[in-house]
This record gives sequence, C-alpha cells and structure tokens, in this order.
Amino acid sequence: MIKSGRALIFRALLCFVLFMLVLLMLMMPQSGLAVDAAMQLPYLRIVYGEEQALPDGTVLLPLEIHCENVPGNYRRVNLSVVTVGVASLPAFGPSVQQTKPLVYRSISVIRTGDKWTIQLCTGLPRSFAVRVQAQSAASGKTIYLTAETNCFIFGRKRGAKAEFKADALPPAWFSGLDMSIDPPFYYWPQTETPFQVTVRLRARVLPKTALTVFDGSFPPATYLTDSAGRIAYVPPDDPKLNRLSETAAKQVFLVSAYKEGNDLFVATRTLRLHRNRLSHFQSDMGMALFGATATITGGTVIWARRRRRRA
Amino acid sequence: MNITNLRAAFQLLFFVILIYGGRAGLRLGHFLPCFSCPYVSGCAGQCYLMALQNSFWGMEMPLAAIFTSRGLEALLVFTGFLLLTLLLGKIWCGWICPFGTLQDCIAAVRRKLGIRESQWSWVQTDRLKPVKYVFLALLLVIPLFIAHTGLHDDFTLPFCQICPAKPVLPLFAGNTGYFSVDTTNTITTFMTSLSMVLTALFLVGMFFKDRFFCVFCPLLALISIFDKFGLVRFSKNIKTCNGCANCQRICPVDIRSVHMETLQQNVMSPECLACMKCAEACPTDGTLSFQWFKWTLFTSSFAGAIRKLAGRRSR
Repeated sequence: MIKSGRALIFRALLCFVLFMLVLLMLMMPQSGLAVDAAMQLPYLRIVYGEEQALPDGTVLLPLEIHCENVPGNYRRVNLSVVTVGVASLPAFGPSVQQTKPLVYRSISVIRTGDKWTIQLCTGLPRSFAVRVQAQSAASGKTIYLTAETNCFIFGRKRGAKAEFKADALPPAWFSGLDMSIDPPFYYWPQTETPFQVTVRLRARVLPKTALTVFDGSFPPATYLTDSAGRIAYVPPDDPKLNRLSETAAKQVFLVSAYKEGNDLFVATRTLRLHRNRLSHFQSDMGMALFGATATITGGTVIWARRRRRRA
Repeated sequence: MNITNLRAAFQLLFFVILIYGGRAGLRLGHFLPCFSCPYVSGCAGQCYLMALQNSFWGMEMPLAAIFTSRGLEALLVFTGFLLLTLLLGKIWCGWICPFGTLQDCIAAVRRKLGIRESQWSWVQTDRLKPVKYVFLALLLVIPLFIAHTGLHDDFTLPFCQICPAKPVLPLFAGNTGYFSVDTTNTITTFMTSLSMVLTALFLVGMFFKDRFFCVFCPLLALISIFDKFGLVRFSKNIKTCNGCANCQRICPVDIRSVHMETLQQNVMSPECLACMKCAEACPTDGTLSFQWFKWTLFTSSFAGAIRKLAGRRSR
C-alpha cells in the first residue's frame, strides 16, 4: 500500500515536471528551426551609417540598404523606388500620437558599386519614417521585400526649412508587408522599454506570423504574432551597450515573412536602440549614500564644534 | 521695509518664477547667471553653466566650428549671459539665485533652532577661495577632453553631474529621481555616487555655514570675472569708515576686504554676493553704498544700522 502510494506520488511528480517542461518550452521564444528559416529568408534591411553634424548645424544621416539572401542575382532586384515618409509631428515623445496617415515622398537612392544609400539631411529636429520596397520575380514566384525604420535627426541649423518637396506617393505604390511599431515616434528608443509590433499585409493584420529579432548582443529569437497581428517586445538590457556612451546606439533587426500563393512577403524593421536612461537608477542606494554621508558629516561637525567649545 | 526683508521677498518671488515659471509658459533662455536648474521640469530658464559645458566648448561643438552658424548660436548664448551679468552682476547671486535662496532658508532654520554658525579661520577661508576657479576650469576642460582626446562621453556635463542643485532643486517640482545612483556603468556609478556624497556634504555645510556652496560656486567665479565692467558697483568711503568691522562680522561669506580696504573706493570682491547686509549693518552714513550705473541702490546709514540692531535684539 505504502509502496504503491510512493509510486503514485513519484508518477505524479514526474507528470508535473514533464508538464512544467512542456509549459516552459511553449513559453520560451521559438528558436532553432524558426530562427534558421528566418536567417535564410531573402530580405532587405536598412543599416544606419555614421551621422555627420555639419558646421552649419545640418545633420546628415546616411542609411545603407542591404539586400540579402535574394535568389539569383541580387542586382536584378528592383531598388529604383525608394521613398521616405516625413512624419508631420510637432514634437517627439512617448505620448505623441500619429493621428494623420503618413505622407510618403520619394527620395533618390545613391548607388556606388554594390552599395545603395539614402541620405537624409535636415537642419531641424525631425523624425522620419523610411520605407524601402523591392521586388524580385523569378520562376513564377514574386518576392516582395520591405525595409522600414523610424529615424530621429536633431538638426540645429538656424532658419532651416522643411525638406522633401516631392509629390506624395500614390497608395498603389505600397506593396509588401507593413511592420509598424507602437509607440512610433518616441525620440529616444531604448532598451528595457516595451513596444508593440504589428504585422499587416494591405491593411490586414496577420495573426500567428513569425517575427524574428536579430540583436547582435543576443541569440536570434522568434515570436508569433497574436490574433491582432501583434507582438509585445521588450529589448533586454545590454551590458555591452551600457559600457558605451549614452548617445551610442545598437541596431536591432526585426524580420517577418508571410507566404500567400506564389508570393513571398518579407518585411524588416531596423531599430536603433540606446541604453536605457533610467532603469539603472538605484534610488535606495542613492538615498543610503546621501543619508550616510550626511550623518557622518553632520556628526563630525557637531563633534568638532563641541570639542572646540570645551577647549 | 528694511533691505533684509526686501531681499527675502525678491528671493522668494524669483524662486517661484524660476522654478515654476516654465509651467506658465515663461522661457528665459539658457543663459541665466544663476542656478535655475534645467533638471527641474517646468523651470523658467536655465543656468548658463550647462550651455557653457555643452555647447560652447563642449563635445557638440569642435573649436573649428566657432565661426559657423552654430558658433554664432553659442556666441549669442554667451552674449545673453554677458549682458545679464553686466546688467545685474552679483545681484543674481544675492537676490535671484534659487539655490542661494534655498541656502538662506536652511540658514534661517538653523538660526530658528538657536544653533550658532560655524566660524572659519581666515586661513581656511583664503585656502577655499580658489576651489571655485578649479571647478570652473574643470567644467571647461573636461568637455574639451571629451571632444578631442576621446575621454568617455559619460563625463559630459561634468559639473551638472555633481552639482548639488541637480538633486535638490527638482525636489520642489516633486521629483526625487536624482537622489539615486546610476549603475549603468563604472563611470555613471562613480559620478552619481560622487554627486550624492557632495550633495550631502553641501547640505550639511549649508546648515552650519551661511552660503556654504557659494564659496565653491563656479558660476560666481565666472560672474566675478566680469565684475569690473558691470553696472552694479559697491563702493566704500574710506574717509568716513570708523573701522567697526560690522561689515566683516555680518558678511555671509566672510569677506574681510571691505573692512580692511583703506585705499580703493571699489570694494566689490570676487566672493561678494551683493546681499547688501554689510551696508545695512554699517553705522556711518554713506560709507558703504551699492550703485547701479549712476543711481544709488542702497547706502549705509546710522539710522538703518540702529534699526537692524534693534530688530536683531527683539528677535
């Protein structure tokens, strides 16, 4: 009776452990095959170049367009239509909401050898939404590639005026996946701050779609969008980034793919993340240090004054 | 109303304006010659020291860019500071500076508690005088090192990082966030720990000694450079001085030179805060006087000194 009781407890424990293991596996970001698949995907991505502050206060930000894993000759990819959307926001901030739809205007792509570059130049503090689109058609299959990013440029030229006078791009221009982030225009994207990513195809949200995060400091991780086509992501604290300056940033790439018939849609979003400004503030430690110093100093002064008075 | 009460009223008024004025849309620029701390959300203006560290010599602006439009902008900020300094000189310290007002309030609490002010010897006072110039030199040199020698960016705004006004003044806007240690990396940990230690030292110092921080204030050092050209003058009539040394005893920053001066008429010393306490305590008519351009702001009088003495006795 006792033996069988023990066996029962043992089996129950075993089942519990197995159940917990399964639960843990389900909760963990999907890795392995999904990540490998994401790494093999053809994709476009925007890579930030080094920002240059010109003497007149204008700031120049070069953005390189990288095209990777495209089957066949990648030069066949039509990169001729690259556009930049200018966000008409009065200020940057987490509370600023984008109420009007973004107006995208075309900007020329500079091609030097195998390098494709966009140069954003402004004398004002501005935020830009950049969207790059490309298509590759081979053996009856079409690959729609999209790369997006939101950049923040702090131009300081006196009397600078708004740029990009080109006409707005028509709605028909938009093809491929959209990967929007929320909050979209906080001027200081930083680690340990949650944001949401929504994956859409022609305004239709895509649930259960894999989204892989490529962060140079951590192994790639894949997540699945929920029924609203969203994932909530918190970029982890990065000790490597913390050691750099406050203005230093790392680039994180979010890649998502969706297949519909013979068409493959791949979207990439580049995030330029700074280290978190406030998460390392230890108020307990600060108050303790302040209190200890004040107590020691105050005590010393009182002791010295008393000693002098006695003398 | 005597000059002490008038000054207290002005100090409180400017404290409210500078700390909360931004909430009412007041923008006085970032070139104020007083500790209107930019870390206070909703402040009306910003202390010039931040602009000095950040823009004029700092990492954002290499020396070659001085003759460009950005250089012009920095020059405009400096011009704003210079004009305000020439216009009001040390009045900024004695009558307007919010951190000075806070120091006076802490000293008033000490007096109410019946605790005597700590006395320093002349040697100690003289030894501490150069410290503010060292702070001023460091806050100019460190940003240059960041810009040109690759010193880590986390040393940016070196003085602001350790300035006691940074954690203390935001308390009046309900922000206790700067009473903390930033453990992001070794430099931030060191700088914020140093800030906490210095804040504690200065607050304790302010309690036991009138205007303790002003002895070390780099902004006072900067203002005093332009004293000679300013519109505010502090003069002494050597012939009528009876050598009572009231001016020396009453001075919150222990200035001896006003009492000791026997040759020159101009007695504005680099440490003077233009609080006018000395002129108020001087018992001889017209011996000590503060002028603005050619108008007299305040002059000493026997009646005034007696009133002050009577006031102190009654308290």
